[in-house]
Amino acid sequence: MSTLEQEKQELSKWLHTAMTLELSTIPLYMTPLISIKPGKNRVPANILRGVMMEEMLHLSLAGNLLSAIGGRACFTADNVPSFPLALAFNGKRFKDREFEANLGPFSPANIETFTQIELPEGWGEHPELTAVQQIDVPGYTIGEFYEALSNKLETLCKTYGPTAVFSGNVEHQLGLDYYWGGGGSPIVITDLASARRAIQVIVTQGEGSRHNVYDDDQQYFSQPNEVSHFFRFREIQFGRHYQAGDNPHQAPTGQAFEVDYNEVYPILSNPKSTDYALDPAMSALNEQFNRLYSLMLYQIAEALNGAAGAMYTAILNSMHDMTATALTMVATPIANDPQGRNGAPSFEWIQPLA
Amino acid sequence: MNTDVLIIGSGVAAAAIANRMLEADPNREILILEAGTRVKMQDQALWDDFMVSGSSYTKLPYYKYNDLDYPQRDAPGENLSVGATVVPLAGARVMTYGGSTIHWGGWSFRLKAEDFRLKSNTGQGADWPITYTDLEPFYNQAECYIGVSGDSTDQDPPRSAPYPFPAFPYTLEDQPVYQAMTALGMSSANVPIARHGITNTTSRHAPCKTTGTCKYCPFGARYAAPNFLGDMTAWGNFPNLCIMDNCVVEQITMSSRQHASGVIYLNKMSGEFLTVEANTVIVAGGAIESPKLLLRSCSTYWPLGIGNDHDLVGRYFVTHPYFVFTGTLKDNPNRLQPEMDFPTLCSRYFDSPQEQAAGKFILINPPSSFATLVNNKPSSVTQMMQNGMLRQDIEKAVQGPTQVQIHGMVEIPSEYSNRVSNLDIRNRMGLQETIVDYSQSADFNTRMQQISAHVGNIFESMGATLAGPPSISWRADHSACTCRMAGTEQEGVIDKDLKVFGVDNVYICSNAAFPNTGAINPTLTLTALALRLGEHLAAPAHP
Amino acid sequence: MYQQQINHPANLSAEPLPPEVYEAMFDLFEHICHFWDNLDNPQNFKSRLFVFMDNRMRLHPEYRSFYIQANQTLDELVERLGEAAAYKMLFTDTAANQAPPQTPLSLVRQKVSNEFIAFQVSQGGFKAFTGAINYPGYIAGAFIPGEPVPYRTGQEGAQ
Repeated sequence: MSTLEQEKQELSKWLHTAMTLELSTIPLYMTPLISIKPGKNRVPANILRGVMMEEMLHLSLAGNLLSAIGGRACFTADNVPSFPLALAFNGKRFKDREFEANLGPFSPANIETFTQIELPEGWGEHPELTAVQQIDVPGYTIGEFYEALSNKLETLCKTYGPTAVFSGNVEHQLGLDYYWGGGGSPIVITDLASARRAIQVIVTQGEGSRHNVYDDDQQYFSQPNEVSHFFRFREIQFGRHYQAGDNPHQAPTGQAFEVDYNEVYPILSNPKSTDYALDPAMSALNEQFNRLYSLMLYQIAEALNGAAGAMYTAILNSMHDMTATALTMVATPIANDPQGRNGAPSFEWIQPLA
Repeated sequence: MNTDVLIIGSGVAAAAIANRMLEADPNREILILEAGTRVKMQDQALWDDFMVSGSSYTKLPYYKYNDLDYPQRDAPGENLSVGATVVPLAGARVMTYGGSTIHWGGWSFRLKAEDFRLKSNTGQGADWPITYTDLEPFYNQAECYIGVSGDSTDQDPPRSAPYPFPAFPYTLEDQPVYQAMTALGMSSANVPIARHGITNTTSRHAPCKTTGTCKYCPFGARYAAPNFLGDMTAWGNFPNLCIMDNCVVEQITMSSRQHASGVIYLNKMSGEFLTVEANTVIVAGGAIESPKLLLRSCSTYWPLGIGNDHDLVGRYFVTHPYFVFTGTLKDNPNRLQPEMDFPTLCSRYFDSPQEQAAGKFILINPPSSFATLVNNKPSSVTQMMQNGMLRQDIEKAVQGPTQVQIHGMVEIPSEYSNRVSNLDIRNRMGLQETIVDYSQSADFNTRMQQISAHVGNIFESMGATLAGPPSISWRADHSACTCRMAGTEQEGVIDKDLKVFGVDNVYICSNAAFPNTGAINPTLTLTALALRLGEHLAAPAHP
Repeated sequence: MYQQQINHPANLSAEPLPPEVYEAMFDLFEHICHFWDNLDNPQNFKSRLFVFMDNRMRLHPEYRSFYIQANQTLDELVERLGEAAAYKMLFTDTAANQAPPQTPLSLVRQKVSNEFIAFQVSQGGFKAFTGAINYPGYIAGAFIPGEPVPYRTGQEGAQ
């Protein structure tokens, strides 16, 4: 039988995957957000921003889960997502993420991809598996992945008791002080109940909703501000808000808003630092961005390993300046680019000096 | 160029008016013209620069947008003080995008009912043409708009809705003053403070994290109009909101005696003088610039300046004298230290109807109190380390002689002879400089002696020795009354709706509008007036 | 809403600060923590110190020279006096604290060491001397009703 330590090592892999999973949506949503020209598409921009803020909460919650079992968060070149995004776990692609997700501008195609990412569990619109894919045992859906994670924790608690399982230092978690400006609150995890609540927030706010869509449709729309990510992207697709009483399977009937895919900078998709080799200024901006991004992740990990104050620096210093740098890149054409595209940050890992 | 609503000045008044109008109609055409330029907010490198200086005002990125000192023998300076009392403008205001809330402390007191009846009650100053009850709903809205943390059980003055955020509890460093006040029978209260708190609702504004560098808050938790304006333009869905900085309004132009056609402004970047036509003109340039603009706007219709047929524009200029009493405690066994950068404890005991005739005043326990004295000089822990004191010496020093202070301000009724006007020189912002003519009244010193006696009692109760007479600053931070509200045009410049007498479409939304100041900071009252004006002018949303 | 990150134009052509200088400055930071014995686990603050240094250089390019100079001056001082005496001199010599700095030692003291002290205290170094839990420049956290207040109130249990 595995010892608790071995089990925790395995669980640590799961939780690092969860962190990568939650982290991966942030560049995905941030890039189209910043590609929107200033003053335009305000409602879609606010939607993207709101969803992005909640993904940061999910990242914090996944990190808290890892710290709660005594794990050590660590971001490296290996677990920082790269684009186009093709997430896998234990060698298998996630069953509901078998498409690639691109880092790209605000566009109908990218918004459609986001609805696929945030598809509620049991929605019934999964793309048909190809014959080739049916031969292999499929990987988890995101919802199944988190369900399995939750079950693992429950089993461990039954075997070893909750104190042994949730042995981590509570100071190594991101509490209420380290998240603001978005929906929801951080949860400090001390037992199975709080662990389940944290997983619940990750899963219901975003991907893999547990609610059966054929029961009680009102719960999706009774509080318009808490419409889940999937429906918020649908609102962009329809250019209209949902309101109470709407059928979730049909178009929304609430207030219309402007969506203009032309008011978008023509940014390069899935950029790599090598794409800017012939443009030293853009290359410098991209490097500056990547340094700040990597430092932010490094300091989030530091905060989860006991240096709580590092989280403030991660947010105040890195996040703020990353956005400013990115906004400059997207508004600037890449020198000598044959297609006349503008720059965009590549979100690549650069090992921080510390 | 033309617009529907033109607002001159981009401070909290402009931001609140625009906010209210756009809530009613997000497509409303609003142009805000600001003479100053933009300052980068929440920048970590600038914050580090400020922090390592020990929070020196001169290290703030907006320091250069203050007035210079008055001319001295060896320094040309700016502005002119011609009265018997020097009222410094330097440091009193910030001429920048977002105005003076970029540097304010956020003290958000309401006036009391008796303040609206100063003349009726005491024979001095003037009455407001509205009552506390008229303004009360807008005080609630202002506290929510600004984001004030306060004690909702405090019914002095009475309130019909709670504060949006709970009051910050008194600090340990408040306790000696709190106990002294209580022993002397003086009521005390939580300072209502513009610091965002924790809520269940989603907010783009971070809650205060008690960083203690309020004048350049890294989180934007202290209300600052530049942050709110930035938010409205970047994230609000307001296609017809336009804010232009580096545009100095030279004068308001009239198409007839009753009707303004717009303004002429100087675009500092291009050097051109340009015209904007507007249906409504709102002057929100602060108590110094608002009257000066009217005085500059001369025409055959208004030879003395708009609204100035009775020579009242720019008159009744008044501010709060701010006093600082300093005392020494010979020891500090509880090692009290400054932990915060905003005050939590105050007393409005003397801000009462009984004190109104002599001059109401408030007392504040400053967060800088309990400053360790090293060689009789206040020293922070940082300074002690930087000066090379060893650990054991620092530990000893913090328990030794300590400086305490009590701050406050007193109401001064405004007087006709005190005024501001234009000086025909441009300052570094491109605005015309100011002539300040202020002379304090004969009974001011008597009042200060009475105040000193009360503060002396507090210090005595605390066991502190008063270090000397108070330092008194007449700095113009709370300038007011220069375009005051009144019932008739013989008594004031604007009516109870802030509209200039004799003109259909010019409004003044500024501390200039106040008939008197009360004993407290003007900003919350200004914001209430602004929201009220915004509601008054809001058109229903277009279908 | 987001304004361009401030970076002094002189930095555009400047070489990055060598890693060994960063390490040497962290070494100085550790000595500050040990000399006053007022901050545990200096390692926890390393990345933040480097961010602080980068921000100084971003705004004031001359700090690049200050840090390089400091590394040299401290090496020489330690070689001359030995480690303990060298840092004691750096931290306590009165002449070195007279502004404006006119010697290499006074430059290190005023522009590097004293700033690192301000940084260190703002990261929590004040607590060891006074029992206070907050300090101007230190982020103690929000006031959350029901949670401990982020400053002393006198309502806590025995101190």
